Amino acid sequence: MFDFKKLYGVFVDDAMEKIVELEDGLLQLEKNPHEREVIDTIFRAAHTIKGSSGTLGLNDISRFTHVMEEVLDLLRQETLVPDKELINVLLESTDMIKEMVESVASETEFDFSRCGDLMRRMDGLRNKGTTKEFKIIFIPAPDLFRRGIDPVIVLEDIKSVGEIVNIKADTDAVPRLSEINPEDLYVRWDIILRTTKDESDIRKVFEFVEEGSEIRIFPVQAAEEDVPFIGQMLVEEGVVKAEDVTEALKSQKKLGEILVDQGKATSGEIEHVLKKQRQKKLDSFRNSVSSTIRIDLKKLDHLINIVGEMVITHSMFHQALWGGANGNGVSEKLEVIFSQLQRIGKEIQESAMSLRMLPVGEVFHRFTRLVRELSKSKDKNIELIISGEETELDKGVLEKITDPLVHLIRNAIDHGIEPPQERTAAGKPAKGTIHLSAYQMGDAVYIDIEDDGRGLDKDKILRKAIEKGFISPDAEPSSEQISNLIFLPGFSTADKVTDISGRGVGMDVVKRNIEALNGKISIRSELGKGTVMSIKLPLTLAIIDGLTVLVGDEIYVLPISSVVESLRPERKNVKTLNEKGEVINVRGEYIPLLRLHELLDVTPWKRDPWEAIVVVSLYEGKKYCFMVDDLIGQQQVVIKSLGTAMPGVCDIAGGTILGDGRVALVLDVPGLIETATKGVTC
Amino acid sequence: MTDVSVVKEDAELTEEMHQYVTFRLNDEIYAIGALNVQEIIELSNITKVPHLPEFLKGVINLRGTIIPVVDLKLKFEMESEGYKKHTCVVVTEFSGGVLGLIVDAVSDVMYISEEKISSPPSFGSQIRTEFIKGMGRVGDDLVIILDVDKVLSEAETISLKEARKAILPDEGGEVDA
Amino acid sequence: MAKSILIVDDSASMRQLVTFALNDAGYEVISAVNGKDALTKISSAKIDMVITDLNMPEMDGIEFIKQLRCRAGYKFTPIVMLTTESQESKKQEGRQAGASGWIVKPFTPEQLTDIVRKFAR
Repeated sequence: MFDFKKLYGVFVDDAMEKIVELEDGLLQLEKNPHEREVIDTIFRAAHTIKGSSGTLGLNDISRFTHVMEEVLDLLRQETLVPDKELINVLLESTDMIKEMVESVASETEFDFSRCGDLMRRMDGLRNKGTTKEFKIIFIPAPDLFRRGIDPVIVLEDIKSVGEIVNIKADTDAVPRLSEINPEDLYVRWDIILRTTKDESDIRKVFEFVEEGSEIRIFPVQAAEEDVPFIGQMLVEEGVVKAEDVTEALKSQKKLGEILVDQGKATSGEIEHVLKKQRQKKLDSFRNSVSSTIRIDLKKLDHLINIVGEMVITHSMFHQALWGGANGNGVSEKLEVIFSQLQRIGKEIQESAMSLRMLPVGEVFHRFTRLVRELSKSKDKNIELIISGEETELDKGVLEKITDPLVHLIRNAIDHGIEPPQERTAAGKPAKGTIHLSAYQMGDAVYIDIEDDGRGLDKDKILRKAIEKGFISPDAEPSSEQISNLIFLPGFSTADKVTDISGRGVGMDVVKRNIEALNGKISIRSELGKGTVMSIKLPLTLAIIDGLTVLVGDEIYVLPISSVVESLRPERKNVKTLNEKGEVINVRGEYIPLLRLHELLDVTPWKRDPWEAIVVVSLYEGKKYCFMVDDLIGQQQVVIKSLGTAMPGVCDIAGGTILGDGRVALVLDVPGLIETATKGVTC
Repeated sequence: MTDVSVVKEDAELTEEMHQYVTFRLNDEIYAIGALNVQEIIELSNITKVPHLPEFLKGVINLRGTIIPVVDLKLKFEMESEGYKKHTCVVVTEFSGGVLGLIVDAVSDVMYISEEKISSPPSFGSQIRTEFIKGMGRVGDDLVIILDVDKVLSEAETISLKEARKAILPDEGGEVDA
Repeated sequence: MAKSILIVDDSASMRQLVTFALNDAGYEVISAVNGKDALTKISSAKIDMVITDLNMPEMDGIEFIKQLRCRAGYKFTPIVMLTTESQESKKQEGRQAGASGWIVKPFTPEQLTDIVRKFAR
């Protein structure tokens, strides 16, 4: 017997993703109850969980989601409307599924009887829904008999999915007797079916006859049945032919055109609105794509294209080497091929890396629920505004940034935003706002969490810091330094720690987590106005453009992103200034010199800057020169961890494996500069 | 070099018998549980990593994965005359990850019965005993059984110490931007 | 009179499984080990429905279906093929050869009898 447990991990990951989709969708639905795409997404999510849990023998989850799926199905068929009660029950059910999935992850027992109440409530909702009617037009393939299929079998089968209200055989297509091929099938059927099932269930009946047949299934709306469309009636009554109605409909003008004709609107205005409408459709499409397809198909297609190119180049290579009898021009050909391969290689790499990039929206939308519930429990009125959802981040970074974001948002709700009466008293709108935004600038992605709450009370922080002995009472820190005090471990300005958070509790962890991603967090805050927490993250962790340098016997990699230029200074341009130490005059600018061999504790070949090379780097708006023995070259490197057993070293971003199999360390320029300028050794 | 007598192959293997990999550091024989050993490789180029305790020699490339290596003799504060032909790396897996141990030579893989293992005696300051799980007796030879988790936990306490230093408020004062 | 079903499969266990399941459901089952064998079997008995595997030695399922459709009296006989999920192209090929339907392996006895009931009524 196959051990399904091996697949549980995959299932849990997948189900968690779907649970987020469910939750998200339900919240969206609450706002816009008629979003077709949203309902479909929710339905698909529940369906996937049901299917995969069933396959793995996780029957509790599958049973529970089955009931949920049925409710969602009725929602999809518009037999049920997404009212508050329904959304609440479904949200609670989503939580229940989450608990069940978590119990799978932690391999603990889940008491299924806990689901009983919710299942009953869902059943209650379901019974509100009624049966629906479908019209089925079945035009069988003429060769059905010869394939050993009797269409009567199919018609009988239809009864297994519902009740046939009306069935009509259409014999119009039967030719004259003399032209009849007795083995061919000429009859078509029109069927009205009353059922609780949906279209796909009905379609299953036609599985074996589908090939070559035409099967049209569409819901018959009760209202439409009472008052059919005029066109349909005219056709049915034999007044006009169906083609005439279609023709008439085609010539009918669009609403916009009519308005323009009547002078009620200009065509420009209409165009503008139409554009907006198209954009809206596109947006909703995009949202649904990104939440169901994990890798954008375009990205995958692009990758496949380049790989195709590589295959072609490969055969060119083969031709160049063994194809021509004379050796003339082979080396030129090879040169072309080589440069082509180089370009393709680079493109493949970039393309492959882009597969790891995911839009932040997926994570951002989870916070809607968080804010909704936390603000309710805190009796605060808070709106979460999200922007820049399409900004992409490396999947690894995205996963690791979620927890810090949760923490920061909780902080903003708990401590940032004041209670409504306090806000009104301060002349602010009673409703607080948290703005969560993401954007890309250069090779970094920024995530800002901005609230319009009370802001940081810097006097209070300072008092506390002195009280706790973090700084001496006579220190005069800058406003920014005071704000940064809240990142110290064990620092909390909250007078009482609430169930949500205490600002400061865990802020050190937030900072550490972000720094572990090579990111940075900074605070801007104004008392009474609000706080902005800004997180800066590298676009991707895994591959960087690097400058390889030699220091002593060691090779190091400096990320190109932090390199401005490299040069060999003239002797007269190397100076020692009293207040700044060694500096190098680069075109009139005095830049501090940092000897890399000293920072990295290796014995260099060259001691004098005018013999060596300096690499100019930029960090936080200031330039620094790193002295190295020599430059080796520029190449893309894959950054690898130095192993989990290795204690963290803050000057080192990681390692990379060179062509000869040796490991070269990738330097962390900000870390190096901080070590050098602040004298902190890590 | 095989100065360790192998436990009688015909001896009945009981629940209390565990397999160990033994290796030499100078004249002493050490052992670690075979379950902790991933493989034994030749010593290749070590890349030095700055600011680490001396015994943490740096990192090596293990087929595309970077792992840290520890010089056990330096770790145990033993005399060391540099690396020789037989010097090799025992790649071990422990709770904290994968780690290479630089040893003089690998001797053997053998079974040692639990009852032949006694708790570590005090060595004075010569050898630090916190990484020693026990002393095994194999024939006339004494085998020192190491606790791999502890060998590195010492390194981790160092890293913690360093980390603590890093988090503390800046002493050097902010560089004005 | 009980309907008789021909099962064509080179795997003995599959033949057995189908025979048991259909006997239980009240059908008569005749088995053949490949297409060639099946074509000889049909000459000596009246078959109401055929279930055939696709990958078989001597004569595979597709070829068998093609030949069977040409035999007198088998023009309209339901033929169900045994496929695996991955054989979408095979399914297509089988349909063109004249197969009526398919059962995806692995299947339960219930699924099998459901399909047989559908075609051989």
